[in-house]
Amino acid sequence: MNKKLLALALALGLSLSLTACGGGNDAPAGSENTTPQESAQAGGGNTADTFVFATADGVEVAVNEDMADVLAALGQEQSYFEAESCAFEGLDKTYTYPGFVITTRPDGDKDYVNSIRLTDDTVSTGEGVYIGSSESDVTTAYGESGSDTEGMLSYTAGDVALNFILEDGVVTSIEYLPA
Amino acid sequence: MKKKRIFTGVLWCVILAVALWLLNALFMPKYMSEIPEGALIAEYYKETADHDVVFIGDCEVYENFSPDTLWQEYGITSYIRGSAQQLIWQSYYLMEETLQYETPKVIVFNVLSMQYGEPQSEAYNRLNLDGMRLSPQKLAAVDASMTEDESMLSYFFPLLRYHARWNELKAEDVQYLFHRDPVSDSGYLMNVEVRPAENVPEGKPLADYQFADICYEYLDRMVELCEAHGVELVLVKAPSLYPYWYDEWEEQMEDYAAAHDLQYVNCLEIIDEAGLDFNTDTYDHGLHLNLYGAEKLSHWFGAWLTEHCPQVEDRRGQEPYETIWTEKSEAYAQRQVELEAAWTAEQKEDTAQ
Repeated sequence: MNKKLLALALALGLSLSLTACGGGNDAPAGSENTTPQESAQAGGGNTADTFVFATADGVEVAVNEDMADVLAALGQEQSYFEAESCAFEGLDKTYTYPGFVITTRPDGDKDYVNSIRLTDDTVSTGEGVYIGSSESDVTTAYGESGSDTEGMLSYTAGDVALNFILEDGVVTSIEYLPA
Repeated sequence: MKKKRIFTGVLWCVILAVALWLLNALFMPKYMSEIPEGALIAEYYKETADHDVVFIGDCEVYENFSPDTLWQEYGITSYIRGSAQQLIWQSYYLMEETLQYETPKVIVFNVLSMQYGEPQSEAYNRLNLDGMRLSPQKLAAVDASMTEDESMLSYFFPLLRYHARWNELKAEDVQYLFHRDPVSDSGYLMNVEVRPAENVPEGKPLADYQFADICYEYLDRMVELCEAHGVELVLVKAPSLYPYWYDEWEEQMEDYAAAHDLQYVNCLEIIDEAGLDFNTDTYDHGLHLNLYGAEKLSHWFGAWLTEHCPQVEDRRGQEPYETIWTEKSEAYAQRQVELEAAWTAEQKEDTAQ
């Protein structure tokens, strides 16, 4: 009988050990896996190999940066909106400033910059492209795009993607996103 | 002797199977005190009578429509098969599965999920698929939904996925080992909190507004499925202010509905007519309606259904519906009382701080 109990225990142990090798994501379904990507900019590191947005006042804002640092540098936003994701805890936040909009994603008790979108021609990218620039202005500044999406020119540097949406050959939207 | 050996072998196999089944039940998230959205899909199987109207879709159905209001005011029997970020192929297979259990007069599908042309998130997949009963529809839904790192086997042997919860197990995991408490009222997830909609962002320009081909393929399949079962498919866009619903998307839905002779209601266009006030009728700044908003919308939608879908009957006074819905209404009223008391207490606490 003891042998049989031992066999059962072994079988259970084997089953559990197999489940441990079952693949898939080990994070529980009770939380979204939103680990922020490592950023060259986060923590004030080297920014030469990535795209960083600078406001008209010269304040630099980078994708994946801790939003608390950004808020300290930029000051009060023009308007603020927060959206709770369906089912899961954490707020996706939208901060609107003159000329640009920053959205964040939560991770733990911090918020990280998830996107920076330029909304008018009072601000421009570090390479001088702004809303209203022509397609040739973009390709002159950034070269040929690797994007195959019609109506969009997309460039990647480090862990940041810079997307330009065009309508009739004119830039209508500029957005920095995690690559 | 040989028979005894076979018997003993079978017995040990049964014991092993039961042990694994128990472990599966223990390790599965229960979705009772946290993330109740995960319990929505499975609750449908406890229904004891059929429904004339079944809603299918994402959070925009299970937060914005109140079946109790449809019953109380119009005698419409309905159920919401909604779940968080339900993708269109998940909606299709839930529709197919629902039609195995009953044949409603009308199926209402919320079209927001047309924006997603590919699997999005394992976490949401789990909320939407774990609760489905084992069926060909579940198999197909899992196959269509899996993200890159997921394995199909883990949806059918959840222990493969959830064994890592061993150090997170709580008393709740034992308490709800064999049963769940209802978290919804006929699929409606009640919320009585009030957080006004302010500074709702406009939609950002998109490079391409065209819905993905795969979304149209599943929408076509919904149309064919409903036609085959003699069910009217109604398309709706709930009145949620965010995520943004683009004019280009609206045009595509209007064109699709016209081309397929479907009725389509964009509830964003009847916000004033329904009396919705986004200062008081939303609990999360305009994404979802709270109870008071859902009841206003359902009051409007019940009238619309009565006028535009005359096959939907007023079942008040008919058994077993009268008895069943009387009980449902009592539970709904009780839940409202409890949630309002909790919300009042939370506000007092906030004020005190």
